[in-house]
Order: sequence, then C-alpha cells, then structure tokens
Amino acid sequence: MDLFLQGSSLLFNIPNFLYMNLGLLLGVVFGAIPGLTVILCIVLFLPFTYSLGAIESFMFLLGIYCAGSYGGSISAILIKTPGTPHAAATMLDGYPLTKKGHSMKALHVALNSSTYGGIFSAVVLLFFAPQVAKFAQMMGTPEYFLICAFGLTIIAGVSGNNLIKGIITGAFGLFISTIGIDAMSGGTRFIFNNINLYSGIALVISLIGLFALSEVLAKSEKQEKKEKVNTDLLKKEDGKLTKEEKKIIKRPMILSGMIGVIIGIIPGTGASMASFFSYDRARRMSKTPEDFGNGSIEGISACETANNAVTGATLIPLLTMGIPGDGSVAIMLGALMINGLTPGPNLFVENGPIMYAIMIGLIFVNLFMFIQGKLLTKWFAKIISVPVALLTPIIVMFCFAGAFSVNASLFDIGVTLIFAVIAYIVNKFGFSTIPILLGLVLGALTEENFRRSLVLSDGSWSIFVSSPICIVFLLFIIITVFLIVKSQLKLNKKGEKSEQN
Amino acid sequence: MKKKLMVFLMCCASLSMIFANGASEETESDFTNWPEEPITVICPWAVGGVADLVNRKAAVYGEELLGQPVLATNELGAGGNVALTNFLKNKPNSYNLIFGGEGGFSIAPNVDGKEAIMFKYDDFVPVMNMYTATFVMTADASLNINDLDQLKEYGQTHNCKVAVNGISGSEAFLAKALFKELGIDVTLVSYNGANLALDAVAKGETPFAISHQSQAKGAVEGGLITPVTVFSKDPVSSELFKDVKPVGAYEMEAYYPNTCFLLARKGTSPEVVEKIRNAYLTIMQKEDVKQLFDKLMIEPSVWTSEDMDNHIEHVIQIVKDNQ
Amino acid sequence: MNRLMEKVDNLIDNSALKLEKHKMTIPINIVGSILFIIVSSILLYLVPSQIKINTEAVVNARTFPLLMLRIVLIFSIILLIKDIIFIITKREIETKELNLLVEVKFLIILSMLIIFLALLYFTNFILSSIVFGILMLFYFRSKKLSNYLIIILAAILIGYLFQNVLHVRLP
Repeated sequence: MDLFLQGSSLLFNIPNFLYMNLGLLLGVVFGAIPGLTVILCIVLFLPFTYSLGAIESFMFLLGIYCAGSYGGSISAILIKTPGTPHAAATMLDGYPLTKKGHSMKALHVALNSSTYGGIFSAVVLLFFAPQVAKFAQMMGTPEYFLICAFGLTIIAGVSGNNLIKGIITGAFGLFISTIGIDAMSGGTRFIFNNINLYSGIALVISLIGLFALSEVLAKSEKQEKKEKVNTDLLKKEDGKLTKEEKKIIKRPMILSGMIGVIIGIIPGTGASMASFFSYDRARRMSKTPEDFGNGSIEGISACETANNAVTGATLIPLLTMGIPGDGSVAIMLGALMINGLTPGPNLFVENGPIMYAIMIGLIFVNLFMFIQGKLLTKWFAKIISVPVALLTPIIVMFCFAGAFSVNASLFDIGVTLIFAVIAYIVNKFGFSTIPILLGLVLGALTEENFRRSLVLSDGSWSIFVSSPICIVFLLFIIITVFLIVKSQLKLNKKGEKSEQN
Repeated sequence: MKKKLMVFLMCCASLSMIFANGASEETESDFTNWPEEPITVICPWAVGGVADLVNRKAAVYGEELLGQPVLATNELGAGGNVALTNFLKNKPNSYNLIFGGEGGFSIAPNVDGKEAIMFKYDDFVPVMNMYTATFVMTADASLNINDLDQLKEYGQTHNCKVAVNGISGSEAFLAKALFKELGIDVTLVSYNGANLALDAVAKGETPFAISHQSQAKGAVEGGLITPVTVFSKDPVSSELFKDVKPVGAYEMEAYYPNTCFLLARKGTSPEVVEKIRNAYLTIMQKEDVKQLFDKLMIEPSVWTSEDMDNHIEHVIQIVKDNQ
Repeated sequence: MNRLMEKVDNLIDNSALKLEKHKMTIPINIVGSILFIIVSSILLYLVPSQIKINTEAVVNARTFPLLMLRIVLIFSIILLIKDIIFIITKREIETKELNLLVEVKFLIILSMLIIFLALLYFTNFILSSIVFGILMLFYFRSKKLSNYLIIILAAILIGYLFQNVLHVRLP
C-alpha cells in the first residue's frame, strides 16, 4: 500500500500526463496509417525519450504502444486496410459494417473494447504481476510450441467457407515464414543469395502487400462511381450502441481480455496472435456465428479487446524477468536501461515506487486513450467521404514510404508488390489471404519452438507430454481438430442433401 | 542487373580512389576545413540496444568537437549486414560513418549464408573502437557451478546444453571454443534473443547461457543464475562480475570481446580519420559518457587500427576452428 | 482542348465496352489448385538447392518447409480431384466470371505501381509520388484540377513529414 501511494505521487505530475497524451496521439496516427507501424513509431521517438526521466519516457512510450494497438482498427474498419497486423481480424467484420453504413458503430465498439482490454491488462499487471510471472515461468519451449500449434487450428476459423483452401493458403504462409536465416541451424533458406532476404520477410512488409496494396489492385473490379460508401447512411448514424448490443459484446470482451493476457505473457507471440485467437473463440461461442465476417460487432469487440489486453501483459515478463514479449516492448528495454533500471526479480525491490508509478500510469494511459479516441473518431470517420481517386494514391504513398522505412530498402517495396499480386490472384480464385497472414505470424515461432524442444530433449518426443500445461494444450488441440472435422463432415452432408433436393 | 552495375560502379569508384590517394599528397590540405557538412553515424543494430545508446550519446557532443552536428541513425536488417552492404555506396571521405564488428567481418563471411555477403573488412577504414563488451557465461543457480573447474567436473557426467542468442553469433562460437578446450561435449540451444536464452537458464530449461554482462545482470542479482566465467584475459571491471575468474586465467584462449568499430569508407583520407578519431576519443572521456558505459557494463578501449585488424583475424580463426 | 478530352473519353469508353464483352467463366477451384500445384512443385524442386543441411538429425532446417509445401501440394490435389469428381457426377462447382476489362484495369494499376517503384530508383520520393498520383488520377479519369493540386500537395507533405518531422529516410 505504501508503494502504491509513493508510486501515485510520482505519477501525478503534469509532464507525465502531457507526454502520455502526446504518445497516445502519435500512436493512434501511426497505428491507423497503413505502412506506419507502432514499432516504427517507437523506434523514431525513443531517442527523444533519452533526455526524459524514467516515468515520463515510459508514459510516452506506453501511450504510443497502447494507442497504436487500437489505431490499427480505424483503417481496418474504414478502408479495409489494417493499419497493423493485429487489426487484420478486426477488418473481417469492421469493413462489412462500414459498407452497411455503420462505420461509427464499428469504431465505437473498437474503442470501447480496446479500452476495456487495456485497462483489464493494466489491472492484472498492477495486482497480479507476481502470480502471473510465476505462471509464465512454468511455461517453456514445449509449451510455447503447443500453444502455437493450437493457434494454427484458427486457420479453420478464418478460411471462409472452404477449409481445404484455407489450409492451402495457411501452409503457404507458413512456408513463406521460413525464408531467411534459419534460427536453429544458422543455414539459409530460399534467400537466393540475396542479402535482403537474409532476415526473412518482415510481417509489416507482407501486411502492406497482402491487404493495403492488394486493395488498391482490387479497385480494378469496381466501377469507380459506385464505389462511394453510403454517405447518407453515415450522416444519420450516431454510432451509439443499443442496450441489447452492449449485452452481446460483454461475453466476448471478458473472454478476450483473458486470452489477450495469456498470449501477452508468452514471449514472441504478440497482439496478432491474440486477436486471431479471440476472434476464433468468440465465433465458436457466439449465438450467431454466421454473422462473423458479415459485420458482427462481437468479432470486432473480441479482436480489439484481445490486442489491447496484450499491452499490459507483455510488460509482466519484461519488468519481472527482463524478457520482452514483442518488438515494441523490446525497444522499451532500452528506455529502462538508460535510466539505470535493470529488469529482473530485484527491480520491484529496488525501484518499487517507479514501478508502481508506471503500472498505475498504464491505467491512465488507457483512460486518456478512450477520451482521445472519442474526440478523434468523428474526424477519422470522414476518411470514407474522401473520393477514391484521391484516397487511393495517398494510401499507396504511405505504403511505399512505410515499406521503405522498415529496412531503408527499395527491395522491400518490391516484395510488398509481389505480395499484393499474390493476394490479388488468390482472392480471384476464392482463397482467403488471412490464413497467409496467420501463417506468417505463427510460422517462425511454431517451427523454432518445435525444433528447440527436440534439441532440449535430445530428440525425444516425450517432451511434449512432459508437463501438465503441455497435456492440457494437447487435449485442446485434439478436441478442436475433432470439432473442426465434425463440422466439416456435417457441412458436406448438408451440401449433398441440398443438392439432392 | 542493377546490383551488378552498382558493384561495378563501386569498384570503379574505389579503384579511382586508390589512385587518387597515391597522388593526394599535395591535395591533403583540402581537408583542413573538414567537416563542412553534418556527419551521419549509422548504427546497423537495433534501436535501444547498447551500440545505439552509445551512438546517440556520443552524437550529442559531435558539434562541440567537430564543428558540425553528428546525426545518429539506425539501419537494420540481417544482423547489420544490410547496412554494411549499403554502406559500400558511399565514396571515400563521405560524411557517412558506420558501426561494425566481428559479427559482420569475422563471422558472417565464414558461416552459412556467406554467399550473400557482398562486403569485406577491407572495404572500410577503421576509425576507432567505440567500446568492448565482455561476454559472461552463467549457470542455473541450483547447480552451484561457479568456475570452470566445477563446470569441467559437471561436464564429465552431463551433456552440457548452452543457451545462446542465435546459432551463428559470438556467443555460440565462444561456447564451442571453450568446451573444446575443456574437452567436454556441448549442445548449443539457439534462442531468439539473449533475454530468452537467459530466461531458459533461470527456469531450468538449459543449465548454461552465454550473454552480455548487462543482459545477465537482473537474473544474477536476483539469485536465479550464477556467473561461471567471463570471456576475457583479465577480470572485468564491473562491480557485479569483477570477482569472476576469466577464461584467460585458466591459460585458455577461447575468449574475445564484442567490439563496435567506427568505420569510414575505404580510401578516406588519413587526416579525416584522425580528426574523427580524436573527436571521439575526447567524447569517450566525458563524464556522462563514462556513466553510460558503466550502466551498460561496457568498457572504453583505445585500440590501434592494428589491434582492430588483429581482433577481426583472431575471431575468424575461432570461427573457422569451430564450424 | 475540351473536345480533345471528350474524344479521349469516348475512345476509352468504347474500348472498355469492347473489353467488357470478353468474358469467360472459369472453375476457380480447378484453376486455383493447379496454380498452387505448380508453385509448390517448383518450390519443392528448389528445396535441395535452397536449403543446405549438414546434419543427420531427423528434424532439420528442411523438415518444416518441406512439410508445408507438401501440405500445399496434397491439399491442392485433393481440391482438384474433388472438383473433377463433381464435374463427372454433374454436380455444381464453384465458378467465377472473369471479365477482360477488369484484368486489363488490374494490369494498368499494377504497372503504375511498378512505375512508381522504378522511379524511386532514379529520383526521390516526392517526385515519384507526384508522378504516380497524377497517373492514378488519370486512371480514375479525374477532371478536377483541384484533385491534381491536392495530390501534388499530399505528395510533398508526406515526403516532408517523413523526412523532416519523423526523420525517416526516404528513397
């Protein structure tokens, strides 16, 4: 309690809140613009924090981190182009709502859910960090592998109406994720002696191609004049949720918050995996699963809650063990180090007040994110009234600049173009690109942890049943696969029957 | 095609510069006013990492000592090798400088994927060594292994698994070289980052890890892991690891530090190199730079260009011997 | 001038109409699966040269990519066979109508993107963006002068934002 008060007194200084809000604003903008990523934003502005104190710089960075996690949903909903990889699942239901003229509603669901997810994880961080850290320490390489393998079953949920097609593109995505230096053996794979492929294809590069540029290419399928979204509907709508709707999204929110936290404490997974996971779970638990993909607010709410619930959770292994859960948090390690704070078991003993200030601050980061989001939503929604002829080239400019900025390489822009063409072609033949993204998100993690497990066990497969957590996840996988197969068989039968009729 | 053209042009440029250098005795005075433009120092590694922090700290004093602002930037990809490749586009005496170390010059050209490496150490002129960082080997605290003698004993009956950051990193080659000298078997377990490697030891997944001192600091202070040895000739200066017996004290040779060279493009006038070197040597003496070095547990080492050449050669030898 | 524009407009409209008439219905699953069979076979053929291994371990650097490519191949074959059976048993298969106009438009947009990228190799970001923006407006057959001004302004602004405010290096 003492630390709590000391932390609060450190936190409640005007500069802390100023930097927090500055970070939030930057985060929303970077998150929302396709091509600009949260990591890029943190990379760009980290040096700016080198002259700030520990709490100020952390409030600033957490502002970027949390708002960036939310910001991706804005472009996903409005222009069918996810600003961040973890908003790809949000797009599945967000854009259909925009097409129906409910963009304000979708944006509000996203903001409410993001805020809830963020605050939920901040509270977990504040009150349960030691317990959660202990739980995280119980999971090792084989557990990570099984969680990833479990994650792969989501492919079934995002394949649309044809599971076989989903498996094909999913496996293709998993294959692409192996390009580059193989982390386990040090050998190269499919780099064709090109240094630019050495470290593989960055997720954001493929994302820009698969979703942003492919949308530009898909403009060929539309009659320009008809493209304008129903602006009349937009004007009438205030975006408020009915009581009924509020009730509907409660369940996916609570569940997704927990999923986000669990995924968040596993290093290397991050928000994309959490949002896909939650989307899949929410669909399975929903009373109206057929709405998913056609503008279900449950779907938006599940993804957005989960990807923001990751934010607080990734800080748990970072602060308690010095393990960064994702790229953004890894960069924040630098901010801790320059202030002489060494993450580890002793961090809370030696710097208790500062840690409490940061953890309490995270709750306020989310509250201010909500306020800023409310104010900005109206402005963002105007994007869809910009003529396509103007919006399209501007999006491409951002995409090119963003793709270049990742590695300062024109080669990467070429890669995004290739991905865009792949996406255009596979879409044409009725394949979904979401499984490709899922494969890219999970591929390296799945393979590395699988092979590392076998190195650790000297080749024995028994390592995958060596702990209770392993067995639980194995059971999950078996049950899920069984359910998928069952529902497929049912679908086939239905199909046959309707044909006979 | 474009790349080939580029390489050809670069060769031409460097060739012409070699000849230009021969005749540059009289034109040397051209550089008395150097620098006339801002200087950019490229860190090819992650933002927020040790080299980046040092780069940005040092850049603050650039204008004071060189008369022109120094901009610190990062250019990532392939563990620094993309930036080093792109750097070849610079002409001698360019206002761009870059960091590099044994990772790019000793290891990358001698391991899998070497076909993609287009640059060599000879394409650069070393200006100075920014710092040296000594690696430390740590063990699961419950094993109670505190020096190499105890490690050797443990190794007689156990298969030693060492968690390292990447299978082709310095940590991996140091592990292989050390265990070879100790005469015991080792299995390397590659993790995606030093923090995860250390975590593996802390939760008992592997018995050992090799990392930088600053990375191991938290877990050592927390009593989860204990230091076994440091990879240097003499004991290190950091408070936490100063009592750890270094590899050199066992009459063994499996050690080298991690370095961060400041490099200019080949053909850069010695006068320019000297100017930058003197400025940076002065910067290293600044009080807050020293403090940063302490926090990051790295040491300022004044190396001659010969020292730097020897270091690169030495590491190449270790890499080749331990493929 | 206006008359010329009208003429060009008419010309485009007429050729678009002609192109639009060229339609064909393709069985998407069959074509799609053949495409993936070709791609995965080529990649499978390349595996030995692109992934070198020097260990006898059962699970090595090739295992995972090979497994994935085989999954792509096998499931593509399943998809293909399934549709062939459907054809034989005279059941309905998934088809899609392709229209030459759409594909020509796709190629036009793609080539504009490629021109944008190519320009980046030779000039700077702002200039290339302006050229691309104008090409794109041509594509959408925008006749408003204000749109062209907005695009030029946007290109300059984005370039300035990246380089001078965010300090991101641009081509």
